[in-house]
Amino acid sequence: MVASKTSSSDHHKKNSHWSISDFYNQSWDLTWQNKKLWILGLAVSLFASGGGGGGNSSFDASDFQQFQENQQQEQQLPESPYSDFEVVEEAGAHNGEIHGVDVEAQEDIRGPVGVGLHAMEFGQKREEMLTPFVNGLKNVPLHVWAIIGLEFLMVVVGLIVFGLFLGTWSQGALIQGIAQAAVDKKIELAAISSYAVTKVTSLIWISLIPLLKFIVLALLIGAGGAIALAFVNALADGLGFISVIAGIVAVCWFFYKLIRLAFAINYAFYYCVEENLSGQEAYDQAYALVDGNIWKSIRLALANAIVTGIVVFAVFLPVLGVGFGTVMRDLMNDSFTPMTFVPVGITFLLTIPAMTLIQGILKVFTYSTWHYAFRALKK
Amino acid sequence: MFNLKLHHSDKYANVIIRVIAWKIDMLVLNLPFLFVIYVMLSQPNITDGVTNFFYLVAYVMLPLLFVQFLYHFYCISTWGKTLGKAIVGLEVADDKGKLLTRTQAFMRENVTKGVSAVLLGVGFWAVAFNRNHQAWHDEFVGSYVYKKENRWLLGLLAVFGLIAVYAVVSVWLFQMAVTSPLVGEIKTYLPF
Repeated sequence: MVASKTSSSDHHKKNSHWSISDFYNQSWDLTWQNKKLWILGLAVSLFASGGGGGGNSSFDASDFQQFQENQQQEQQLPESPYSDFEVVEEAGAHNGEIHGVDVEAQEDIRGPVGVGLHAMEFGQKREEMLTPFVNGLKNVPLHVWAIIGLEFLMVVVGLIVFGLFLGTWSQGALIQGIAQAAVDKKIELAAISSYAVTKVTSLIWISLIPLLKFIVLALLIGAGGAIALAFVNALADGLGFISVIAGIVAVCWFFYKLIRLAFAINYAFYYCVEENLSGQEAYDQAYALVDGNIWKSIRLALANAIVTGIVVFAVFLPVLGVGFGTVMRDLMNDSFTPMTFVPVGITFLLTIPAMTLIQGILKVFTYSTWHYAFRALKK
Repeated sequence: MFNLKLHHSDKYANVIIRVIAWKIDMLVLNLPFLFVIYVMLSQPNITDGVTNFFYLVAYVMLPLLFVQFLYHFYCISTWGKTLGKAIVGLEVADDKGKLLTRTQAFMRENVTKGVSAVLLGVGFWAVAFNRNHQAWHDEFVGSYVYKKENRWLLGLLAVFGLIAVYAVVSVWLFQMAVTSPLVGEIKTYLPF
């Protein structure tokens, strides 16, 4: 144990160059030899949505794509069947006529009248059902709504603040734990945790302020650019290509700055915790550190994403295969019963803790790679 | 941390006595929800039921959530014990026997207990295998659960007493539900 820890320390000492394979070897040694760090990794996987991979946002491109697909599906959905019911319900039906229209003559066009009558009954029934609920809601006095609103506001604000605290505290604690383990210090959870608490405000600053500043700046520049282009186009026709070129340049600039910001935030966490700097100082130094090292950081982020993806799929895919295979086998043999789901459910339930542990270990590993990368860049 | 050797200590509380204390707290904190069910079942119709449900949300349910969130943190930082721990004779303090600070208590009760709960609560069960009977959340803040008095039997009686209260009230509420006009009205809308 001691010997291997020394080798981990030696790795650290001779690490003056950028080598992802070296980072991986050192990180694996550190992760495997310091199992207490797994607890901190579990905390990060539980409380922090991103981080350790060059960003802290839980909303990524795939989420946006899913959102767009959902929107499109909603638009393509046929109209609610209740909309027909409401029309018929309003009309009423008397002696084969609805508002003076001979419904029997309309049957071949709009379907049998029976459907309409059932719909009418359904509509009335629904209204009967809803009336006491609606009356109950109307009887709730305004001050009760005000209190509920205030309490919900407190819950929402509290959850946001608490979520930020949890995310930054857990990341700060893991970074500090890794930094201590890397210099062969004993990992004391109490000391690490209390130190991370003192860094929470700085880490929240790093997580929020640079991103907000960037968004405001990008909006202002975008608006200014749009006005300038409109002005140029109004002055002289046939200069539309300028807009296209300016648009491409602006998009490239935006993404370049965004990526740089993401890595600066990532390294700022390490500056803040390991070098004990304030949020502003840590971010400024990290932003300067990223300059000229952005491709190296992108390569490490990609490598980490691939490793994480492979490990997660390596565990989850067989389980998915077992579940899917069991259901398909029973379906094809005509022996499918609800009991089929019992072994499938048990397999999935057993997988959840295993996946949680693997996620925790992976967090320690990826954060360690960034620790060694940060140290190498600083030299 | 991952040493699975069972330990015994006369100074620190073991896992069984801590589970008893936790169970007492949980049963006491959830008692007001029986009152909520009682109020709902005693409504004469759906209209009054809906109106009073929102009264309950505003004045009982949401405030109870706040109380449940703050109960452990406040009790541990102020007295070093919750009701359950007081009954079984336990006290939470640091290595020198001093009460935890507000920050330490908040971290122990509202933050790090979440970490202990992952992996089927392995962080709580660590109490059985730790030399000082520390759970993960104790290790995070440097706290210890001291056995001030050995009153596990009293705690066990309290747990059974509270379970009996729950059982009696549940039976009474079930009988109430059978004759409740509100439940009768809801039944008329059900298709089965």
